[in-house]
Amino acid sequence: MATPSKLTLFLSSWPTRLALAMVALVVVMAVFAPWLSTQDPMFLDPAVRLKGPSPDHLLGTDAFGRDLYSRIIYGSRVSLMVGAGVLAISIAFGVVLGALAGYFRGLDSIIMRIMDGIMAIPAVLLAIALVAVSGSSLYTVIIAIAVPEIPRVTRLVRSIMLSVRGEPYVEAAITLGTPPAKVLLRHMLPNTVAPLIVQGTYIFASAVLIEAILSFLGAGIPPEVPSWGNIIADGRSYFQLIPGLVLYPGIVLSLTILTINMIGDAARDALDPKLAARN
Amino acid sequence: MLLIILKRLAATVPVLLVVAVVIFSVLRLTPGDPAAIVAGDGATVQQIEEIRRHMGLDQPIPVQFFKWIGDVLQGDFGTSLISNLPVKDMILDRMGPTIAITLYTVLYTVIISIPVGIISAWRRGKAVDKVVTAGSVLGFSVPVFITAYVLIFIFSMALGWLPVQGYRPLSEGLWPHIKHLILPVASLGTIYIALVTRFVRSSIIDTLGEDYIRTARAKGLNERSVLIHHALGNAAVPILTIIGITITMLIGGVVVTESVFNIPGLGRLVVEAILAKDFTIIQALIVLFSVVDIVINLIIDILYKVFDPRIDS
Repeated sequence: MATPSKLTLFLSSWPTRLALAMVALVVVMAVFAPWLSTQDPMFLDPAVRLKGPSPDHLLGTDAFGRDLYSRIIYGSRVSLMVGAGVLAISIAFGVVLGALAGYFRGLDSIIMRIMDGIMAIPAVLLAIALVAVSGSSLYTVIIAIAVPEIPRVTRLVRSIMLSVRGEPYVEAAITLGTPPAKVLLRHMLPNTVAPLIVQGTYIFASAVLIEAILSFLGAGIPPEVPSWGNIIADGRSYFQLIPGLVLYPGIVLSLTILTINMIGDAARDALDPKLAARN
Repeated sequence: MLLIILKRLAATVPVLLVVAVVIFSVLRLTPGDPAAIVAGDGATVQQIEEIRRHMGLDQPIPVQFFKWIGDVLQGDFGTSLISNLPVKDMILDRMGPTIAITLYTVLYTVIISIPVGIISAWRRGKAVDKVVTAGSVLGFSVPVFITAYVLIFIFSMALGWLPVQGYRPLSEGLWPHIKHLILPVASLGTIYIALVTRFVRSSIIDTLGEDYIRTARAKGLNERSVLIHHALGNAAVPILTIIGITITMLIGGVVVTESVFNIPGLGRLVVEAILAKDFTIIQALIVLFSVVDIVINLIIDILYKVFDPRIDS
């Protein structure tokens, strides 16, 4: 199948287009946050604590008198940075480890046993422990979420490498005396691109979700930073009084994760016709 | 058979070892001195030194590692840095609610996911299937705590049918016990139902394409019998596997759910330990949850070797 038709296939359904629009909206929120927000998201104004929506405060204010709307706008920055950071780290490590395991049989069992071990530890708990010991900051949160994702990428890349290894064009390249590095980079790794695009989308969504969970539990981004998880954590004590403090950021967070997952599904269907036939 | 089980058991040893090394290194080798964290901001150098000796942190790293492993193998998880109680007792004390939530969630998931997944696969491409497919993407995209707050908003605050939070053990009566667990299990279950339904659906679609299904239909069996005996029977192994794989995710969800609903289980203990920087408890609970995960997957592996002899070791 030629490339343009894959793109057309990807863009063919209206839910996918809606999902792309929503993700684009979040990106716009993050990039233009200073212009879109109506107030400094950290500005405390005790005079307007826990007020409902008004022209001054579109979604009302939290327990410290901070503007909820502006905090939600700025929260998109944290979520996108965490998503992108986790994606970059887990793909970089996962591809290198997976390629090594899939190509060099001697390294395979060592690398995969270590990956099995990491995968047996519940991801949220491992991330919580990593943040708890190294202190909460954007960087520790990104690393803490990325570590449990690495084995998933490694497994995926390894399994593709193993299945491609037996292909005639790879055998031919090896027989012709092509150096291993070139066989890997030119002939084998390109096969991982399409599955990694799909997996990468899911990793991004999962990173946004786990960041929110960590911040919600008090083991994530420092509490004063407006991240969606923090905003919800701040609002939970007042939930029965003002449900919007939890529900508004919750809706934005859920929609973001939902639309990224939808894009992942659409990418999978477009890039893998065999799977698409099933779904 | 026994040989297969023994082989599978032996294969978990390296995994357990890696788990132990990872957990140990995370808590001992990352920057940040546990003794200083426990001592607090105002502590003097002598106090920190005292705590370090008390925690055994002045010993060489390998010595600390093997001492810890030895203790854990004997069921000794150490003493809580904050409460000074044995961690083992604190865990035993908090296990009940967590076991209840997990068990009910798995049951609820199986009861909903299997029929819904089968119907969705059978009616593939029809309206029912589209609703189920869209619903499952939605189900695993919404974070547990958001689902939980929405459910609290509807059923506790607006309708007043169910308690907002809290927990009652079974010994205080069946209805109070269930009443307090309906919302937690419903919130946590949403994600797993979404994941498992999606998986049941695609497994059944796979088996429905097989030759023996065509044979079964050709010899005139009714659809119900084809779906239940032939399709579900053969999709059972992958379905069981996905339930095993999602157990780790379920554990993460339990931590959040217990925190939202203020349920005094192991998940809340984790959160309390993080806030109090009690590393002995964090370490013990991660080991415990990882071992539970490994054991459950081990049992599932052995089970389907029993049920499906075609799978070789």
